[in-house]
Amino acid sequence: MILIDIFLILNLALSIYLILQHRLLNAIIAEGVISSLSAALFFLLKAPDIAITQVAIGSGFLTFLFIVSIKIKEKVIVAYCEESALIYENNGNHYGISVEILSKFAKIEAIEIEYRRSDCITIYKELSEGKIDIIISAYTKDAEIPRVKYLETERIILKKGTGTKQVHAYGTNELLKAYQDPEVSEIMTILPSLIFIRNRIKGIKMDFVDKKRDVYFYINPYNSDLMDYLKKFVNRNQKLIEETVDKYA
Amino acid sequence: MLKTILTIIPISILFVLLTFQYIPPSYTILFTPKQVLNDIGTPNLITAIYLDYRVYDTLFEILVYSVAILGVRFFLSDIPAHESIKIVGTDAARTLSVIIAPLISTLGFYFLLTGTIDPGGAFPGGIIMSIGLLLIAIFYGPDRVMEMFTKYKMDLVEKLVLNLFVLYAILGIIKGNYFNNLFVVKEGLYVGGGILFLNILVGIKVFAGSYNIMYFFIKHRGTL
Repeated sequence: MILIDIFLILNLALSIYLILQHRLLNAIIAEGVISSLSAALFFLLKAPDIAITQVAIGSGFLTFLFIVSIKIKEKVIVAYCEESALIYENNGNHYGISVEILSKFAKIEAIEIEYRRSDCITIYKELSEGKIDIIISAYTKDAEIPRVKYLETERIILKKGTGTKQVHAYGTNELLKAYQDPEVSEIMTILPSLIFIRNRIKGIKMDFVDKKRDVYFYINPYNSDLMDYLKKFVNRNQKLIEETVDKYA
Repeated sequence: MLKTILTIIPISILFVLLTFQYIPPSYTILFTPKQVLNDIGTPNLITAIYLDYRVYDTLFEILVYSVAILGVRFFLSDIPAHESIKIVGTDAARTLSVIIAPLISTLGFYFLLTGTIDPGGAFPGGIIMSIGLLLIAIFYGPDRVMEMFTKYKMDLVEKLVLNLFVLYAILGIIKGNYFNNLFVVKEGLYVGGGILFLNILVGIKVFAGSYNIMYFFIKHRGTL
């Protein structure tokens, strides 16, 4: 019978799709369709008892159980120590470029995200101990911490005119402090920090430096799965990240 | 590496020996359709086989199901229970679920009652009965379904039915041997007699079991 052949080929194609599928929900729905197709096959092969069982269990009950199981895979704790355009808090909610990117990631991977404000000095220690999963809006030179690059921003030199000192200020608080310090004349900073406090800075000259600076997610070294998934996500969604940055710039 | 080799070599030797030395025994057909109709009288031969000739296998099948439920309870008990469960769906879905759910559950029970006549049987029947409840739990809110679970002590029912099955199997000794068919009915709606009884028993067991799984999943992980 040609119908059996068609169903078998469809079944095979769907199975391959299921295995290669990255999104779990799509895979589960494919599983349900495969169950229905197999039921049709069983019916054509004159086994109606098995067909009924296959439909009831495979497409009905199992789909529900799988969907409930993937609903919350795990909780990821995201920490930050300084507010910038990457992340800032307003009335208990968090906004910013990184937050938007991460929430999209969480939706795809069915992860719950908890944001936590932490101290800038102890934050890396907490990460290496595994208490935090991701750090955003922070900069470290420690090369041992695993990281995923997701943004490129420009370095900017702010010229105040008064004073003689030159400082680097990458966080927002640092930048504000340096801005208010009368001895400082030039501040080296990056775009996300500047975007966040641009309303407070007036009458300052800006120079864009050619050197680019990368922005990273710093990731819990014990959680290599998270690292892989984030890397894949960032590679696949470059366009989305660019759009998000444009929204804030 | 050595372990792998030591495992693969005997298995391949066994395989080769089996393939080249296997002489198919001359099978005698144990039960022809005619014989089944003569013995038990059920039009659905499959039910007759898995609830009479091979009822010992079925006993272990439902034991496996019980163990699976124990596993679900064991693993989900680590996860803290949800305090408030969000209800999904629109008003239309709510109304439709209330209309459709009883029909689905009734269809499930129909499968149990006519398992000896029509295609169907205990396993799909029980699952379909619980899918009706599942529909209500998802769209109308799980409170009522969860309440009923504790009210009717479904976890107890599940174990009780399993024990009833074993008891029925032991009572078969009255007729000469364990697992014997106690009530023989050869025609009418209740054709099969003991088989129909076992069919309903297994169906209720599967219903209670899937209700158990559903309850613990909803309690600890919420609905959709």
